Amino acid sequence: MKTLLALIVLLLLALAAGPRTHSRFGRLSQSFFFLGGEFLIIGWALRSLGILGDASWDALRPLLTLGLSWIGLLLGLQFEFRHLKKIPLSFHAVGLFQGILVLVAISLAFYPLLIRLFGDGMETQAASLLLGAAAATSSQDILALAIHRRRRHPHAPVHLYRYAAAMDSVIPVMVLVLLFGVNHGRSIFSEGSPSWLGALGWTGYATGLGIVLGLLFVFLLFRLRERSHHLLITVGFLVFSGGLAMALDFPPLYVSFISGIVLVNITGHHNRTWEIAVASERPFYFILLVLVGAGWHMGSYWGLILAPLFFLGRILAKSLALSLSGRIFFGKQLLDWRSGLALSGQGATAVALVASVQLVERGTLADSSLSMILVAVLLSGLFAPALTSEGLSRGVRR
Amino acid sequence: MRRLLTLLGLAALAYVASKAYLPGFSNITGHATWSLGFLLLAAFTVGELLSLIRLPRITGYLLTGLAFGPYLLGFVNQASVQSLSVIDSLALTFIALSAGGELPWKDIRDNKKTIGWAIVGLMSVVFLGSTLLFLSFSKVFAFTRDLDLRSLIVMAAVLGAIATARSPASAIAIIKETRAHGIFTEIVLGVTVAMDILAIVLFALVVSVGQAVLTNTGLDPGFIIGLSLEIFSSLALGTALGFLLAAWLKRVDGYHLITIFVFAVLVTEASHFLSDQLESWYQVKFHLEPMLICIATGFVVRNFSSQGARFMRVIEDGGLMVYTLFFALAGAALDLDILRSTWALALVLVLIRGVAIQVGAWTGMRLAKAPDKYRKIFGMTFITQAGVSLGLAKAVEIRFPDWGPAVATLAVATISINQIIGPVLFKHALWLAGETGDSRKAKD
Repeated sequence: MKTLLALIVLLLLALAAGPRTHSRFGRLSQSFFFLGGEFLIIGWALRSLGILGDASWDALRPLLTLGLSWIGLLLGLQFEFRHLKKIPLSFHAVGLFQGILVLVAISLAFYPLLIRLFGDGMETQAASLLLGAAAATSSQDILALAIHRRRRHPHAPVHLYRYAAAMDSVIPVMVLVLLFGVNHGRSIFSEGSPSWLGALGWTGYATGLGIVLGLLFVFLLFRLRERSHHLLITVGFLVFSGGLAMALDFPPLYVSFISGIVLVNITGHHNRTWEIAVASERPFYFILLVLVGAGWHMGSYWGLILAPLFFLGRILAKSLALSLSGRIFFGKQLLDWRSGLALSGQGATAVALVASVQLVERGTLADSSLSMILVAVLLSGLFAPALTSEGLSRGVRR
Repeated sequence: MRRLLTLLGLAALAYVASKAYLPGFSNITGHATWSLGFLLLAAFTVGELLSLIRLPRITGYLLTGLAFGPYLLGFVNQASVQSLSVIDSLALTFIALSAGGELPWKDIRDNKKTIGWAIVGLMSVVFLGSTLLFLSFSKVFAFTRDLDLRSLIVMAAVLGAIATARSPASAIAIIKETRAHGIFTEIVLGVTVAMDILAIVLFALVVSVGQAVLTNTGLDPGFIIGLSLEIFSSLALGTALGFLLAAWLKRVDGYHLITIFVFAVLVTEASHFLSDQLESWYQVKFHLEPMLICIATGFVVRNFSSQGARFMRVIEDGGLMVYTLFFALAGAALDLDILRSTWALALVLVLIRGVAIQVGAWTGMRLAKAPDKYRKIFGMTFITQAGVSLGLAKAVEIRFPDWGPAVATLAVATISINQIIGPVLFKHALWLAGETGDSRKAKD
């Protein structure tokens, strides 16, 4: 209980001090604070100082599950087919393809490195896939921040960037459910008799659960008028679906992502849910960051050494992948090769990926891989806004 | 039909989850987490269903917990109920903030005479009436036959003191649900909150005197002084925190609901921490009461700051969630095994208390020269018992080890019955007073 008290005091301090201290720093650190990077460090410090030990962290897992469901629902709610149909097919293709390219490039680049450092095996494949999936995501927050700062960017295909940043979040969510399914979620990184084919079946079950829960959510929301009722149903649903997913060994992020897609596509009542989910997004995200920080085990020091390499490799891959995808699907070299820098930010989805793995896995390789991703997220908070801005200024080739 | 189907769907999923056994952390975390979400959603749905037949929603919340809890269907197991009990204390402090906020100073001032007489009538008649009636029935009960007269009197007085306690949480939940508003509602709420404090004081006095009588030692004045100091300190601290919270709400934009939840946890945890530290460092037993602190805080923010309206809006937003969960958990925690073995005896006690409340309320209203209509229905609003009463019952078990456990068991059974029938009577009384949203609409 003392732990909970300490956590609350720190959160209160951070919430109270945050908006005031931001203005005293330069632009570089402003973005870092805007994205809540300090909460990750607060969490890590709490753990390092022994204030938030393993037992307390375990006790706070339901909060982590709730945070993951929250992010999953928000992701899912963005996939309204009625709106998606209005977007050109080439945008869908570019958005998805650039993500897949980054996934493949980073996974292949890090696989031999991980084999050399940690040995070959199923767990090394899983770790390189995890790194690839985290690299494939782009931060919608950092992109929005950069677009807001550079109000005029005549050459930037802002819609394409926004769309690609939303679309590439599907990749880590899919990779996550496959990884959970390899060993039926028991242990992603363990040896044994994993089956990638079985993982597909497991993904099917997870999708089924997401659809059933989504339909239930639609029923629950039907004819609700008052805001407090909407709040209760939304929070109750997220806790229920997250807990159910965990109890049945499915990733909560994926299950609520599917529920979000079901909700947004078969009911007109999702606007209020979206409003509630977005209004409470930041505090929940910050709490998630503190918990992820507190559950951060460094693993091998190789994780920390490789982290800057992962960060730089990802930016290079993102930059080239968007340009290459544009070339393939737009038929000519329309996008500048540096335009992909606009997708260089890494944020909520990468953190959610880390949190999902933290919920079920601990071990040297897992911890080292998660360290690489978390360091890259912190670096991204510092450098990505400027890089994104650079990408926006390049945009379309003249 | 749609609500029923939703409930069936929820129950089917919960059944699958409760039967799935996958060892490991994820399952342990998952079980408590889905139980929490399930109780929220199912209780809300059952509450909606019951409101169709004009029963209070909180009865639905309680019945949901009872039905799906460990003693009946067992979807939500004992371990989950235990791990979710942390939420109970958070909910109680949140409800206390709400209770303080629901007391408009102007209305209390305008009705102070009625509130005062009602308290006098209820406290004296319920305490004395319950004590005497229990004494006169004591030969009927098997577990009291062998007790000497002194023990019998102390036991009856303890039960009488517990009978005066009622549940502000359920009162506020029903007032919110029915959108009740008017003089009768204000009087009921004022009396309920005041009696909650007085019941604790009376219980402490009875226990102190009772122990002195049973052990042939003198009355310890330090105990009474300590208790008064605890109550005064809690109220003073709550007042100071009220001004602080109001300043915070004024300065910080957004996240007010989270701020208030954090405040509730902070007050609860800090009070317990302080009590533990004082006891371990200085061997001093001094307990700040989080509920009293929060009642004072809510009262100050609502009545003596510019943030009253904002505060009440935030409380309104989060209130439903808190009440639903609190009562569903209370239902899940109801020990049906105890009720099964003592229901007949408990029913007698419920009747004794019910008669005493009716007479006390009538007397109080008559002394206050309240309208005839109020005299008849006022007593119906004081039947429900919950958190505080259960706490007092638990204290009896510790303070009187000889016969305390039997009395505590009986008290828990009585409280369980009152918890189920009380809200129905309360809602009906508000409707008869013509102060619910529906009855006002019908009048117009």
